[in-house]
Amino acid sequence: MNEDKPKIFIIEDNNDLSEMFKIAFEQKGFEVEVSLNGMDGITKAVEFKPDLILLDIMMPQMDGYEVLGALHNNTSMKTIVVINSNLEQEKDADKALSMGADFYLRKSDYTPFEVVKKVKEIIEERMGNIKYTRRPQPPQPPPVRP
Amino acid sequence: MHFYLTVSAVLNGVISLFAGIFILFKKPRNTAKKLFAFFCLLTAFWSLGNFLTLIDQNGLFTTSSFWLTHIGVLFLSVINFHFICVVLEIEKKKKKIIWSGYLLNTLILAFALSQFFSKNTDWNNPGILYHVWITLWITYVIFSEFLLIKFRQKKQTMLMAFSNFIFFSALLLNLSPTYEINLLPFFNIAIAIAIVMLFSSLSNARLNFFGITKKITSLTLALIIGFSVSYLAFLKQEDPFVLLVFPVLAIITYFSVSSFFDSRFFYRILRLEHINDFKENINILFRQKNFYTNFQELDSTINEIFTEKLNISFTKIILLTSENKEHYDHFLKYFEKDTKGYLVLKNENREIGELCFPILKHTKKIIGFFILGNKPRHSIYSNEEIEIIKSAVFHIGLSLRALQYNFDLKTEVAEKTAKLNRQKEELEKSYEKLKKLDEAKDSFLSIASHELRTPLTIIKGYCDFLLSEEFGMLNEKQKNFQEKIYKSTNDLLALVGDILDISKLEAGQMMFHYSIVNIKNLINEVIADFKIMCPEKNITLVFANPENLEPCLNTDPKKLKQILTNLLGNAFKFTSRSGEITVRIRNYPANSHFLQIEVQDTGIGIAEDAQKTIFDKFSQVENYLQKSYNGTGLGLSIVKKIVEKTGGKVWVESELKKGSSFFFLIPQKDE
Repeated sequence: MNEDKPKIFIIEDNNDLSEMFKIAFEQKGFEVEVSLNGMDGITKAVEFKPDLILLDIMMPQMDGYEVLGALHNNTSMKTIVVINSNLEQEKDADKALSMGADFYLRKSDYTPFEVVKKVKEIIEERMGNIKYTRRPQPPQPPPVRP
Repeated sequence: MHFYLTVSAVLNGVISLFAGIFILFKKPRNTAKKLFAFFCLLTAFWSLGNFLTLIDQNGLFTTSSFWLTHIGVLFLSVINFHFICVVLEIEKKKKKIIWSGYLLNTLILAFALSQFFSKNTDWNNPGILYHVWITLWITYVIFSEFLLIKFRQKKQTMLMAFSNFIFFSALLLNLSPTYEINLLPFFNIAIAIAIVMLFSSLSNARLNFFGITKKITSLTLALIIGFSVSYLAFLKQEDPFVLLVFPVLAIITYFSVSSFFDSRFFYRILRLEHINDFKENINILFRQKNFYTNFQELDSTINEIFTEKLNISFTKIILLTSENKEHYDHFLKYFEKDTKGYLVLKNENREIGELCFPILKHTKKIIGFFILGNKPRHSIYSNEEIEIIKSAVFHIGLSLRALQYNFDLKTEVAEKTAKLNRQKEELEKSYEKLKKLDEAKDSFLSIASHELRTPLTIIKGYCDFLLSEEFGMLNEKQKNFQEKIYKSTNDLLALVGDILDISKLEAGQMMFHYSIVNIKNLINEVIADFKIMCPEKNITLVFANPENLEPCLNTDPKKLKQILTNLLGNAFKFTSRSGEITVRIRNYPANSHFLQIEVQDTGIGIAEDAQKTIFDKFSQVENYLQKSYNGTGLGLSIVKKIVEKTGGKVWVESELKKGSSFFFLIPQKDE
């Protein structure tokens, strides 16, 4: 596994959609892990330690909000969460953002590659290139005593 | 003078005889009535004896007329005393006095023809026994009067007292010639009047009607005094003009006597104050309070005053209901004939009460009865009391009607309130139902659009993969097909969004979030999105803002953006190649309360009749078959609804083949 690749974790119950986003992200050089339900997603996310989570809202058993709540309350993860949902009521977006999501994307407004592009922008903006590239830091010169 | 005396004696005798025989003829069981009959007959004996004496110029009937006169006059005072004792129900206590009176008078009668009684039959020389008899006679009369006055409370025997007084004064004056006092014929008439008074009061069993007593007594006294004085004056002066004094004197006497009877002083003497007191109480009761909140209150208030002031056992208001109507049937039958009267309850009904008055609604309908309990023994209701009770019953009727009205009103209010409550509940239920339906619709729309979008997103996504050619190259045809799929998918997605928007607008669920918006920046943002589409059709898109204004408006930026996007989308759709589209700020809040923006195109234009329906839903559908323009026609409908929600207005000015201008006004939202 390439250490330099940014890690994306997709929690999406629709098989076709998750596969589609997986293809797009992998095509653009991301390391992608997919989970098809919320419960499984939380466990996997803790192991996978992604840079960004693409989270759906409308899911059976455990919806996106619950996952979002669980991620924030039960884990010490400081991951960017992007809500990727087709729910378009403003209250849904507001709710997600108030619960700690970083962005709200409406799936249907973007093509998969546009989503990838947006995600890239978000990661760069939030973390800077350092973490994104994960290059080893050059050794610091020892402090010179006067 | 002899003539007058004779006539008056005959009149007197006939009246007394008639009264006595009439009472006896009715076979009275009552001792008082029997005694009164004898009293009348004795008066008749005396009067007729007197008459015989007067017409007997030749002394033919001297002895018989003397006997007749004496039998009458001797026993009158004793039988009167006996009668009064019976009426006052103290007969047993005064038994000795009564019977000793009879005995003494019989003894005197035995010696009536002796020298001891009268030295001759002319009565002009009375013997010693005559003086004894007249003393005894006067004593009994005075004693009777004393008893009548003493027991006036027990049984208000005012009429009896006054008629007795008139009778015996007149009789005494008739006997006065014995003591060489001139006999006046008028006193015979007074005796007749007194007999009639006693007779009428006894047959009515109302010895206590003070009003009549007052009138008769005043009149009688007026006549007696007026006539006597004028007559005596005439005898001395022998001038007929002196007789004119009579009417004047009679009138003065009448009014002074009757006003004396009306005076409080007189009432106090007679201890009749309770009647006035009772009357006042009743007046106050109904003047102060004509309205009672419930029946018990009315009943108990009435009961309290009546029992206290009239000294009776109880009063009772009986309301007629369908249940007790049968029970009081005999009362109803009685009052059918006489609604103004009252019923003295006979022995069989005595447990109900003594008197029964009908309580009337309006003038005819009986709604109940007012029953008064028994007076204490030896006492009966006076006519004054009955008059007051009648007026009280009238007021009770009024109060009952007010109560009934109040009750009806309350019932009506309660019924209406219950009805309103029921309706309210129903409304609440249907509101809840509608709310649930609305929520269901809302969530249905939301879920439906979500479910529609998911497969569309997938189609769009894979289409994009193919078009990006990152997974293999496409030939021109394939690329063209893919582009068509991609575009249609996008249109479909937009349609889903529009339908959801219009549903939300129609359901009033569209939320507005106001903030201060820089209009110039917002228009630039929208225009930037559309600039990408310009090269395709070689369209020039212009933002005309010559003065470089930066107007700000308190509005919902997202909605304003949506309006502009829809209008520009519409303009792009209908503008052919090399056309021009201009967005212009026409007015802004610095100049007016409204922001006015124009979106102008050089497109196909809109026919005048179509301009009216262009903002209706799916208005484009009709034209769809003729011209192949994409879209559903929801865009302008959404614009209109959003603009109107903000309190603004949208309209179009257009000329076919030259182009259209869409204007919209959005008001500054007040803070």
